[in-house]
Amino acid sequence: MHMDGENPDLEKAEADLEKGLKDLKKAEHEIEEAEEEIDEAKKEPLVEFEDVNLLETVTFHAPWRTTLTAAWDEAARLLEEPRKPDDRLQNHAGTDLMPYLALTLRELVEKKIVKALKFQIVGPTGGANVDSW
Amino acid sequence: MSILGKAPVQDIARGRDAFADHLQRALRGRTLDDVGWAQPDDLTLLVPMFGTRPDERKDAYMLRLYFDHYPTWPPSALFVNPLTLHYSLVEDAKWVPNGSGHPEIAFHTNYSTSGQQLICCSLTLEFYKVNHSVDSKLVWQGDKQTFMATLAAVKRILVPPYYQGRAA
Repeated sequence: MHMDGENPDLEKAEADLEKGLKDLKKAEHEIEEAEEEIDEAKKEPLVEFEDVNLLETVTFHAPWRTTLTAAWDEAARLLEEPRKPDDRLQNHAGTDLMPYLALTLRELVEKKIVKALKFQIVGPTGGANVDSW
Repeated sequence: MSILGKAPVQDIARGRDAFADHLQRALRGRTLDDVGWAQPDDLTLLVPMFGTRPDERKDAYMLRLYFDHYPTWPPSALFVNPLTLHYSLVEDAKWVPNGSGHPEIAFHTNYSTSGQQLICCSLTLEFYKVNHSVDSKLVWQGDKQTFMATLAAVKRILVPPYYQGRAA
């Protein structure tokens, strides 16, 4: 025992406790961040792309800030079918979505361009040309 | 091999098999009831469709697909009277949508006064039966396309600004 009242074991224990508390605080912070990421991921909408020729459909979560064209790129990657220059997107009602490729998923919904984030990848067709009558 | 310039040839056995295969793939585990379609026989598919007016009001139609030349040729596609499931000129013209201004598709209740309905689109059999001209790159490709492409094409003119109401 030290005469002046100092106790090295106690000091070490206090230092260990302080470090442990710091580690605990850091771990709690990491857990909070992870929970926020999970919550954010849960809020991400599920989007669906159907290739009407392949008869293949892919669904995946995408952030609301994703543009339609970026989501289409991801769908093409998952479908393992590159986008062709003549391909286009429409919704299941038949509305052409090509003018809206730069809009985000949130904007598509907020502007009421689509009601559901379900898209069809379609190719061009012939017919109805005036010079073909 | 391209079908451009050739006369459509019926192949019921092949059509039945291809239709069954493509239908199962299109349903993705759902039933016909789930998607609102009906299959009265193994070569026919009935698909309810809606024309949407600018004010969001909708008109109901029944599209009948028939697969006796499929898949070398696209499915036959006609709007039919939902009660008789057939199309008869004059009395059934109201069961055909009126769409205009779309560069790729048009509906005719009496094509060239033939008495025949025509969904003027390179993804329907009738388009080739009337020997309609078409860009070679837009010709139906039976090894790459399915009836779902036909349905998607028909829907394109059933929305604003193209859809105008009933044909009669």
